[in-house]
Amino acid sequence: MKKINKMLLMNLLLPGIAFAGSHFCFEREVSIHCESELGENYSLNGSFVKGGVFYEFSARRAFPGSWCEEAVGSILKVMKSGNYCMKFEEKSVSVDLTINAVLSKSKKWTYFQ
Amino acid sequence: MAKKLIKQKHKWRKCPLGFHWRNSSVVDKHERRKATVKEHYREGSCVRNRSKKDTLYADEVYIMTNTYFLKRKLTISSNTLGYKKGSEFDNIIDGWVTYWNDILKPKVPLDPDFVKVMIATESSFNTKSKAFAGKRAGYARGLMQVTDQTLKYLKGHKTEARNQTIILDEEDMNDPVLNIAAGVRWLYRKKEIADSRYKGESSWLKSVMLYKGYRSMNHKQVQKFIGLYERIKSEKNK
Repeated sequence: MKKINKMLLMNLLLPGIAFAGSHFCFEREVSIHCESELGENYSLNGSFVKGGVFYEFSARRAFPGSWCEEAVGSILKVMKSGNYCMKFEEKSVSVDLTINAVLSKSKKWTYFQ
Repeated sequence: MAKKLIKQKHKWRKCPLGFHWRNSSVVDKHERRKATVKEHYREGSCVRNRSKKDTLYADEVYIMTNTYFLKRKLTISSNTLGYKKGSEFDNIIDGWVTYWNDILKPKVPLDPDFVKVMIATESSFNTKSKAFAGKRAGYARGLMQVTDQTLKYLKGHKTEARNQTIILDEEDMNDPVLNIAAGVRWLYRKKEIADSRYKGESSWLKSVMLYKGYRSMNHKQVQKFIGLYERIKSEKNK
């Protein structure tokens, strides 16, 4: 019960609570990695299972490898900082998601500045 | 002024080839060749391009948009794709796609709906969107997420934009008119690169993949693009 209340509270306190698409909250890290793309570009990709459903997510655009490494590093810091939520562009009916932000109480990563 | 020598490039362009339009303005007092020039009013006029290339500046981009694009019969779908501002930029997209199709004459013309889907997937129609794109590329800005590095190329650096250059600044990219003018031009540049890479006439989808930096057609983001484009086309035909 205490854990549920904590998650509820975090959802309320998170910045940018007006989610345009969907969001999922987690207690543990989810899989995230960079993949080599055209030229020197790398894409940011990941996946998770929620409610028995397998979801995959990625960023809108592939950018140079340093961008992807920095993004993954920042996202992992958020994931390790405690309970966190991931915001996606699409509504929850989609299983292929576009990542917009990863937020915890103390840290955040956003695709858009 | 040079009317006899140089004919107009396109019916929507205000100035002949080799010139660009500069709006009327008040010129501040300044020093020129050891003489002081008093503050004065300067009429709008066609100014010779130093680069001698076909160059667009913001002043003319606005004039073309306001004069011609808002009254045209559109070929673009009015589909919003579920976005609040999904059809707000239809006139601008349709106008700039038509202009660049006329100028660059690809074998398969660019479809304005393609650009609409680009905007949906790049910025979700948010004109102020700004994403970090890496140290070299700088920021990706506005509706079509035009990067700072792209703007340099469009200005003619490294001859990327060949003979049609656009002189715009980073802050201009928050303006939908300037952003779409630049973004669509860049998509054509990607088409040229795709054509040469795939030895022949490549598809516009390949250009989108180059624009977005994705290697495979199977990547979820490319599939998302295809899905939205198919949706727009199927709903248009109903």
